[in-house]
Amino acid sequence: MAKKTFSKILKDFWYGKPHTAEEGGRRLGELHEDKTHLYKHREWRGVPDTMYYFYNIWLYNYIFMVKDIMVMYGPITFAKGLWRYRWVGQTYLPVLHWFDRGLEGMRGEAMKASAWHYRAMVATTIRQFQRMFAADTRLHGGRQNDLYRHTIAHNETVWGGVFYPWDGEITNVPLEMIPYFVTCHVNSHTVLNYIDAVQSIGLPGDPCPMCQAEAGIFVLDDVPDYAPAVITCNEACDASVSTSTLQDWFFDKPLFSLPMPMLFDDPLVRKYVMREIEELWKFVEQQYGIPFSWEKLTKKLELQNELQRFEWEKWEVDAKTPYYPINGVAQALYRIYQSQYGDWEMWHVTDRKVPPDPPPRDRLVLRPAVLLQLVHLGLQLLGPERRHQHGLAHVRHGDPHGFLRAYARGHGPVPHVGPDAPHGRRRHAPHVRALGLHEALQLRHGCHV
Amino acid sequence: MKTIFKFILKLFRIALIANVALFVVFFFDLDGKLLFNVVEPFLKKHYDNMERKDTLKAPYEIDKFPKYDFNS
Repeated sequence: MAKKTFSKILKDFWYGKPHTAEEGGRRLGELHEDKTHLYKHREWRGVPDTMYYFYNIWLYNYIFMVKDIMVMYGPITFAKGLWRYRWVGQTYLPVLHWFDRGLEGMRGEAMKASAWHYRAMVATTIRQFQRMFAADTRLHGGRQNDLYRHTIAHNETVWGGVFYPWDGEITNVPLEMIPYFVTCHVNSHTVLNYIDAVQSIGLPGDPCPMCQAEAGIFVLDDVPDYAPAVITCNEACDASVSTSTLQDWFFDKPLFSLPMPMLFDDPLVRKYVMREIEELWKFVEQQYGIPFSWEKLTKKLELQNELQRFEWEKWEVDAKTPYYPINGVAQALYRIYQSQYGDWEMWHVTDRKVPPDPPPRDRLVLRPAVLLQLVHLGLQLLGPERRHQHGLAHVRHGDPHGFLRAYARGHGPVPHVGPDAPHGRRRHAPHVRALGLHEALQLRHGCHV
Repeated sequence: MKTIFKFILKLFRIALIANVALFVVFFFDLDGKLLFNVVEPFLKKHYDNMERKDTLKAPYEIDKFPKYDFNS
């Protein structure tokens, strides 16, 4: 009996306690202190996963957060922003606890893959708020510097891709994403100040708290003044329209409203949206005096296509497996980040880490599957049916990425958006469809999409 | 040779101590406790006492900028 108990303790120490009902589960709630919900101690996930979490998630992210701040406009810019804006100090300093909450109970490849998505979101957050602070007139004695003149603000529901024609010349920074939207995820106490503020001027408590906080942050004068013009959008709800009105009042800048009908398949709607986007482009040209670049747009759309292909693979896995390999934040919030900010290198670096066929230098994350990849190789010789069967078998054996790889091998090319794109056999990217961009390209430039 | 060996041993010891110390911080969430009990209250006090512009006094000049209609 004692031997059995010792063996069980040893097994739990090495692999982590299994999450089984028979054993009463892992009782993760007991890791937290009463009231404050601080950890008594962080979760023990077994030796390999705890060490991975310690070195590759906790320590790695602390180091790279500092590095990101040093590289992106420096620590003085960050310190100024930290001292001026509540949402920085209250939300982004304890960001590692966002990882803890999101990855609680996760093990193995899923924990690793999810953490890489979080890492990309953290890097993008730093990139955006550092740009805000570097261009912010409030932090520069009211002076509009060169960065200010080359930054555009937009609602979080405007796809960052509409600014691709000015890549490298105008930087788009979503208005609410960092000061408000992500703060709800990282530290939900931060937004209470902003909700209180907007309700104190008479906004009733029943509209969506997201929109309330978006407006409340302006009431408390807690938004950086970092761009000469702003683009707003009606999405995703009616309350957003009211928010735009308050933003127009408090931001007091040239504002272009981009109305997006929530219909996707009506040809007339597409034509309407196409015209709206073209108007937006003309507005940007007029405000910044920088001409629209067709070459830059097509170049960035090619990169966007690559991101889209990665995204499809994730959707396929999500649709066809009972247990999705990455958590909801790593899938959904990552996608929201990607769409609001548009293409940048970090998305490619991250998505290449969780692909069907990673290049050799990126295989660290998927290392446990190396042996199984050899089995894949053998099965590839047997034909596509066997490959799919093997992919499903992988899911059952707790390696969902194996399914991702096996499934991708059984599928052909995916469609592109761009001038030289072939006609694909699968659906187009929802964002591109919703915005009518590919119609805009087709009608305006006669290209195949 | 002996000096190099001693130097490597010293480096190894420092690395080991640093690793153990960091692991203690990580495992017992000392970073979280510091942020929650010290840093956040200090910053909140600062933010609560900050002078802020009364944005409600700003007039809403809806005709200040032109109507941007590029189709007409």
